[in-house]
Amino acid sequence: MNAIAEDITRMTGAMTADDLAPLRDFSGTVGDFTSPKARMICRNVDVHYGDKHAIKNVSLDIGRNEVVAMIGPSGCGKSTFLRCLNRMNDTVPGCRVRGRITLDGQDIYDKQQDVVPLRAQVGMVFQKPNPFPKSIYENVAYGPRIHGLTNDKVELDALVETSLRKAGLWDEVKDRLQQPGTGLSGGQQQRLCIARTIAVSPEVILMDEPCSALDPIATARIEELIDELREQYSIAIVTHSMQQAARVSQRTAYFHLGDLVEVGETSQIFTNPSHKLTEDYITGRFG
Amino acid sequence: MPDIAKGHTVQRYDQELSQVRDQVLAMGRRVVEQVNAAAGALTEGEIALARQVVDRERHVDRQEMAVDEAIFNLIARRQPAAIDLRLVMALSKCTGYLEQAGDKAEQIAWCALRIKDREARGAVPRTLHHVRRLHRIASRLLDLALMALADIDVDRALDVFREEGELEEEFDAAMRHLMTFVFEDAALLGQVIDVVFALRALVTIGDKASNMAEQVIFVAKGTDVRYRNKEILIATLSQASSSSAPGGGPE
Repeated sequence: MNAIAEDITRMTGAMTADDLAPLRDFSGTVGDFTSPKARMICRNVDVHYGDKHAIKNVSLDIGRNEVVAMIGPSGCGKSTFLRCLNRMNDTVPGCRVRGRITLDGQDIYDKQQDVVPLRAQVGMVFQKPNPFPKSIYENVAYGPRIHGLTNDKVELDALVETSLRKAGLWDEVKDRLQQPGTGLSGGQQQRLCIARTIAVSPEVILMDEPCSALDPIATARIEELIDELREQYSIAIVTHSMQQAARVSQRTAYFHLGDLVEVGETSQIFTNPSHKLTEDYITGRFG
Repeated sequence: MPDIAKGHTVQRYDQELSQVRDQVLAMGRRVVEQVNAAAGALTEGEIALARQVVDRERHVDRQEMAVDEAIFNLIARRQPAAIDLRLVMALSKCTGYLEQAGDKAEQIAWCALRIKDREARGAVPRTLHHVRRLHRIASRLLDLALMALADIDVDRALDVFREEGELEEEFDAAMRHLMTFVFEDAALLGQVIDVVFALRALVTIGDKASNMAEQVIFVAKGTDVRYRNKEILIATLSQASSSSAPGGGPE
């Protein structure tokens, strides 16, 4: 390169190695599945339902203060993988989980691991709101009581209030705490379930399509809540709404037929995915 | 080259994307016509043609507004992502570039009108040689850029970058010659100033073609290459296309 060309290069900015990488056609790599702030670390996870190989050698971290969205077509394994994170699959007959999943360094599939405290540490919010057929107060108070998290009624009341406040529900229910939780609207019930999850001081919250049964306003409130909860918790969310994944998450993982096809920064996945399958799915060319 | 505006599960989305792209390409063809007509009006001294260019500039503006509206609706209704989003963004930018190129065609037409107004015989032929040459380069760049956009063809986009250097070289040569004419005959000054305006407008039209080529790279590769050194870009992308097979990934 001559001197003038070098000057021009300096002035206009040479392509660095980082710049060059995206110029290649689809790299087809999974991307960086690790997180610098990893709280849950999953390595080489395989799940079988009988003969069916539902999850194939998936590695993925869930980091502190981040929302990881898992997207993919029905049957791709995203919910199966989510349920591995608090051993919900243990209850499925014929389900075998291999690989290593740790929470703060502790193997959650260790024989010594009791699943009851694990499911308090790694709470779960389901697709359909499922409050207990009890009062709003009892729905939130039940977990702390059985886990022995409070010493007296005063502490329990405070915890119920704090949990309902964190779930953005307190102002709407503070005057009717003794009414049945099932009497609330769908969106309120889902926030009650989130309050119930928060009440037992989880570290990670798993959400399996938490807004699919809700109207757009209730969905927006949950999404706002997810963003607030991120400050304290690690969140993994399975969603069929790609717009929701784009709105709420910092990282997105795309699953396809049990494989983790690609994981990356959400902005990268939705603007410039590095895998053709990811692109086909998020642009609606799939199937 | 695969048609990226085809293959969505929702076929209506394909149609909407294709329609927007067709609108932009139609606008591009009109701009090419305007540039050719304006350059012809200047070099041939055809007043009627120059007036026609000025008059038709409104059509280019209307096409721009129609494309903007179509893109606005498409974003609202479809929320495009990934390559679709890049295509829509690029089409929006290209529309702006084409509108600016259309403005430049109008400027050239006005130069033709002013020269004819000042001097009934029209421009002195020797001042127009460079207009023809620059027009040929700018027009080719615009054609190449539109073909690249039509097929999201990276190789054609690179051709635009390879050939755009000729614009400045030709403009510099034109300036040297035109200054000589002015030194020889000061009476030509007014006419030469208009010719220089027209030449500069043609350079800008070529620049807009280059801007469009950048957008083609952005759609195809997902990387914003504006303000990048074009020589390095050509070397990088030529190397990439010769060493790697496109598309794919694990099945």
